[in-house]
Amino acid sequence: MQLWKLIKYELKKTVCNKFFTITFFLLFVVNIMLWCEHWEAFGDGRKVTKYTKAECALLESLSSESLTAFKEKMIEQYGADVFSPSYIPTMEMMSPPGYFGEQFSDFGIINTYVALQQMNEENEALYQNVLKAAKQFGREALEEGNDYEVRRNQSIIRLYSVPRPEINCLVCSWNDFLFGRHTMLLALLLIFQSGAGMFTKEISSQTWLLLHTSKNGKGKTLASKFFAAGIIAVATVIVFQGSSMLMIHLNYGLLGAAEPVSAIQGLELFPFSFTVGQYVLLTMLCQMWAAIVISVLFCTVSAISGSGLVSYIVNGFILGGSFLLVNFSPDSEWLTGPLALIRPEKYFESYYTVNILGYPVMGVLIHLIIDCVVGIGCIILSAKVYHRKRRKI
Amino acid sequence: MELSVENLVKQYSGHRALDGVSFTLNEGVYGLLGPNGAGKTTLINIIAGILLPTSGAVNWEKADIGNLDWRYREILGFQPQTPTLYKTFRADEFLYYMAAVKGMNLSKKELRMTVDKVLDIVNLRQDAHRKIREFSGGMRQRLGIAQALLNEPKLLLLDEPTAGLDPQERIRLRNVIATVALNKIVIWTTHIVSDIEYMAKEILMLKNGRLIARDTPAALVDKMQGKVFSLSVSPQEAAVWQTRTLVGNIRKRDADVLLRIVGDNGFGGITVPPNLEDVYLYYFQEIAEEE
Repeated sequence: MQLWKLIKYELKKTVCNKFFTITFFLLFVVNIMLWCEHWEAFGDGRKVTKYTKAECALLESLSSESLTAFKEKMIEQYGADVFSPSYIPTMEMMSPPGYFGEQFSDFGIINTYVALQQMNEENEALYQNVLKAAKQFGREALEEGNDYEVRRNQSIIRLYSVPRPEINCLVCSWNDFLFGRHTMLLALLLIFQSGAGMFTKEISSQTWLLLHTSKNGKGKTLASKFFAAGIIAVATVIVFQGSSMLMIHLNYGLLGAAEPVSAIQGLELFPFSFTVGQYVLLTMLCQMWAAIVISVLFCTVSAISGSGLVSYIVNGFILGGSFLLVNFSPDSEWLTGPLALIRPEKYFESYYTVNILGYPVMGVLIHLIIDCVVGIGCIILSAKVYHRKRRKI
Repeated sequence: MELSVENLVKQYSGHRALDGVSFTLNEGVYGLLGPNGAGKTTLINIIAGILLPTSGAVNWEKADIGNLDWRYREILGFQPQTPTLYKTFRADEFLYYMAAVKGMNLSKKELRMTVDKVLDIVNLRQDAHRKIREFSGGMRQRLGIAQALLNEPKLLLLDEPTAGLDPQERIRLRNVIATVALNKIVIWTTHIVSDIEYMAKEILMLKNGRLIARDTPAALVDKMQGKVFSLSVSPQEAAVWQTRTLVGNIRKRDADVLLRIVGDNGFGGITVPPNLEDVYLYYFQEIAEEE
């Protein structure tokens, strides 16, 4: 109860700070602006997405007889290769009205149908290849006595044998949200601004003297600062990513949240039966986690720094280095840094595991465990050094 | 109730801020008197537990304060020298926060009553809902004292609490401390004699990190009997006398100037009754000259 009270006051100290408010406002506006590079074309993409949605809905509602009739009619009208992906459409095809009336052009419907068919067929082939390879490698591993590989391939077979739902609708604009980089960078800048000054502000204003001579002024206050930094980190990710999602929706339109993740290019081999919406949620949870981890690092540096300037410089290097590492890192599985989870697709684009005593453990779990250990270590270090350092002044 | 300080030494690189300071205090108000740089703040910070001594110990009820940890902080009220406080907080909000930091387990009603009480004591009740950033230096100082009183401490440490206060506020503050001092040990550091002259049970005089005197104000004044003189000189000679002797006061009259000389030699002046300012001047003359 007391800890929660302290957390509330720590939040107020940070959020009611004029500098924080200005920084938040500026970064928020920049984020919005970056999603709307061309204001004159704002919302055009949404119209296209709307048509795509209607086309998908139409195709899904068709019975197999209606679909066959449609296909026959199209072949008759435009030729036998009209359902080929390389077919070059005529102007007549591209403009409504078409077979399904005023609203739809024939090409629009054909194009969506072909894309969905192709995606489902390719994904099915991909899973079959994965299963084939897993069985092959599993057998070889069994002969070699490689327990880890045996278990890993068993897991792959189990995961990829689960029947995947068909993709019934094209996924629009979620890629922009999932793979966009600038929103998280801006959110991290705000987290940096609040975290780097979390402790040093107490030093520069001499209020640490009041804290350190009070009963709860050490352990609980320190804990409340870390909690507050974590809450700010999570809230910042939600606000920035939420606003990005809204801007993408308003500008380009978001479609396909209920489709399987395999509908997203690059994530065809996602090992679990998740929908795009669930994967977006998973991504945001990972990003929140990464934000918490980096805020703990910022706070730790702030707690052990003698001055605000030192804290901001060191934390600036940590943020810059971590961001570069995650976005432009060498092709290393381990050299990912504390921000690795702001782009979690690295862990989910295939069944990425680590050998722990012969057992395959998902890479993302290992990363979470390392983060926990580092985070706890940082908090312990902060408690010890912050306390001791002040006493030697 | 006993606070004992045993042979405290605080060594900084090339400078010894405290040099073997020892004393024991019981209930009452104690004035820690000394010029700037005497080591008052270092001493009070060590007693507050925020600074480690190079050697020596501070004991509360015969137990080391380091071992008592939060149990010591629970009975402590501390007002540091000119804290900036949290400017975005309202005065009452700041006190609610400090109550949480001090671990005061009170119901909402009790807490509100406690906060109102300390705001009344420091005469800030009418400003309770104002932001601290709107406060004058004196008001902040009073709010700092309010937070120190919040947990009804047994040991109250006030580091130059009258700094930045106007005379009216200083008098009010003195009265406040005199009121709340019952059943407490209060240590009040200052270099302004009048702050503690009438309310201190004892005065501890610190010079160059050493405790050079400790006694009641009356006894300290009494020791100065025969060391304060009134000497009439011509206006032209007044300046020369100031360089040769410790002059506590200069009063211009029609034809001459009346000097109040503090020292072992009165140079033929008339002996006059001493006061605490004379004591200060007598003990801290070297520092005063350096300054």
